[in-house]
Amino acid sequence: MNTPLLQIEDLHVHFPLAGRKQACVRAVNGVSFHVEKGETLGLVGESGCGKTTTGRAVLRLIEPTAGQIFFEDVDVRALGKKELRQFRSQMQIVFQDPYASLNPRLRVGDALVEAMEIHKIGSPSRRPALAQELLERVGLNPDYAKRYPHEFSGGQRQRIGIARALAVNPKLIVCDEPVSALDVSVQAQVVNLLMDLQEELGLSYLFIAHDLSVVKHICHRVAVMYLGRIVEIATVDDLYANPKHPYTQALLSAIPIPDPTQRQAFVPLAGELPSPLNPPLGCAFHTRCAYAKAECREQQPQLQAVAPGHSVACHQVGQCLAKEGRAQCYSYYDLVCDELC
Amino acid sequence: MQSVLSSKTALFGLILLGIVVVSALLAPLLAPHDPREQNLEKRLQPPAWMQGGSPEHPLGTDHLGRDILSRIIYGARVSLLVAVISVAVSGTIGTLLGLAAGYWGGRFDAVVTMLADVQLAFPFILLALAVMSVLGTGLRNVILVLGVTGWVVYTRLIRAEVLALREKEYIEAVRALGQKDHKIIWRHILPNVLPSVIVMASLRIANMIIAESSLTFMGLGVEPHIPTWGNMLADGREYITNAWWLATFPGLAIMLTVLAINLLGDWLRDRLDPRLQNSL
Repeated sequence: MNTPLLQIEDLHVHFPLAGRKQACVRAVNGVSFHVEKGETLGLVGESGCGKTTTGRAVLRLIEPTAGQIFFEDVDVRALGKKELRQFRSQMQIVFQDPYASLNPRLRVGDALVEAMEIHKIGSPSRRPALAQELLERVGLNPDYAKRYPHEFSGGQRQRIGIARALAVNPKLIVCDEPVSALDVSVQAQVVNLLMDLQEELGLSYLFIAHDLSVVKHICHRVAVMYLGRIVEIATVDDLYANPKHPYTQALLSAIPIPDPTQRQAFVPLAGELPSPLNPPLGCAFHTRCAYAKAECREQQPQLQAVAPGHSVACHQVGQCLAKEGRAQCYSYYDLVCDELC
Repeated sequence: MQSVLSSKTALFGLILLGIVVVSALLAPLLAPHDPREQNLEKRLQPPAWMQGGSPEHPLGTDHLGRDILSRIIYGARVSLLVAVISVAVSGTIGTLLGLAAGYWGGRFDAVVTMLADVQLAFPFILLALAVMSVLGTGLRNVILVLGVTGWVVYTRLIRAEVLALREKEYIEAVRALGQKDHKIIWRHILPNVLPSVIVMASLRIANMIIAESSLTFMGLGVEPHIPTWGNMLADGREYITNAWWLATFPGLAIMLTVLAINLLGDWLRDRLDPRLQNSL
């Protein structure tokens, strides 16, 4: 098997709290995954589960507390300040808020030229022309290079953000909820643009999102995060057709079905996301899980393969599989899934 | 190009400031009298349009019989010089410290913030008194004291703005591109805080003109024989009930100069904002 483009091992990001010595927020608490070349890995979960922090930590925009990040054969965490700056052209980021992600006092063309300047792409005299090509590539008029960000709509700004990321010829782009701030019609355009670019340039994406329909459309594989951990990871078809983890099932059941004659069995999640300052012992999800047993409160489940390329971190799933070869305790949920698919 | 001529208020400010600057530059040509020439026979003469006034002294004379108009014209030199240079010095120091403290945070930020608090707790006059008594009085030392002690307001303002800007996604984006810190500050943060610096500087010019007056009034500032708006105000204070023109005209000069600078400052702030360029 080829080495993956990006390999994350046991990544931790803890934020110390001012004033309290021992206390810290465990935003990311032992996350491992990999991204293949040309692949889109979705990272989903509710607000506050650590998906954005994971994306930032992969780029070392936030320094990870522990864990390893390998990009091809580069140990990203071992890079010095200067090496890291040079390495940054390999991995780029597209942000959620198109209104905050462009400097209001910099012309669009200048922002793109700046990106090329940093990594010495093209000759200084050619860069403005290259910037115009980039704008064309993301579906904008090349003359827009002379304009300021406030002259554009949200969707256009997001395209500019993508052009800026592309300016340094990255291999991987972390997309941090790139469409969640856009209108639905514009969302589709931007998602399709990302998919076209992936095909043309062989890009890989780490696609952070909470909109599961978008994820289903763009991603090849999906990792579901809950409270700083990955609870389930599978190919997109497998995950949507056959979700194993109770949390994944609850998430999927929350997708609205655009058909009023079809009622869906909504699996409600009781309670709130526990505080990452003080995560529950054992399985972090046990406080909201209908199937929690004694061991769930005591022992932390590890990710284990239930099918090729499909891993789940759940004691109950593991047991049922061992007994019956199928998660029989989820019969109710299986019904939900049948309806969903 | 957006011209200053298209904004009426900015044009008004420009004309006013132009008059002050021209008076300062061409004082010997414009002033009808030597500002230091005393004539005790004509002391406390009212302005020309009042009873007892004479066209020889359009704005009257002071308690030593010196021509007030001439003194105001000459006083513009000192006031402008002190205000502009001390604002430039304190604005530069303050902005640089604020940028660095806000961007890097940590120990440097803690030290700068502490120094700022110490200086704010220390009465300005007391500090000026201490410095001036060590350095001695004189125009250069007034500028030095005002320039070096004025940084705090800029630092606090800029630091707070940088703290907010630093978290913006476009700053994160250039960090993700691998840009060097000093270039991020120079290209992305400074242009976004500059409007605040300009507004603050235009307000501070007024403070500096008044601070110079206070120091001069206490005998710690400019040498008493140099006419300044500050020592004219100070002199006029004693005669305010029976000869109002002594303090009123220099006060008016200060007010109009400050107004002119503020109007221009507002225009410049809007001019620097690309979002407002088409709407102006």
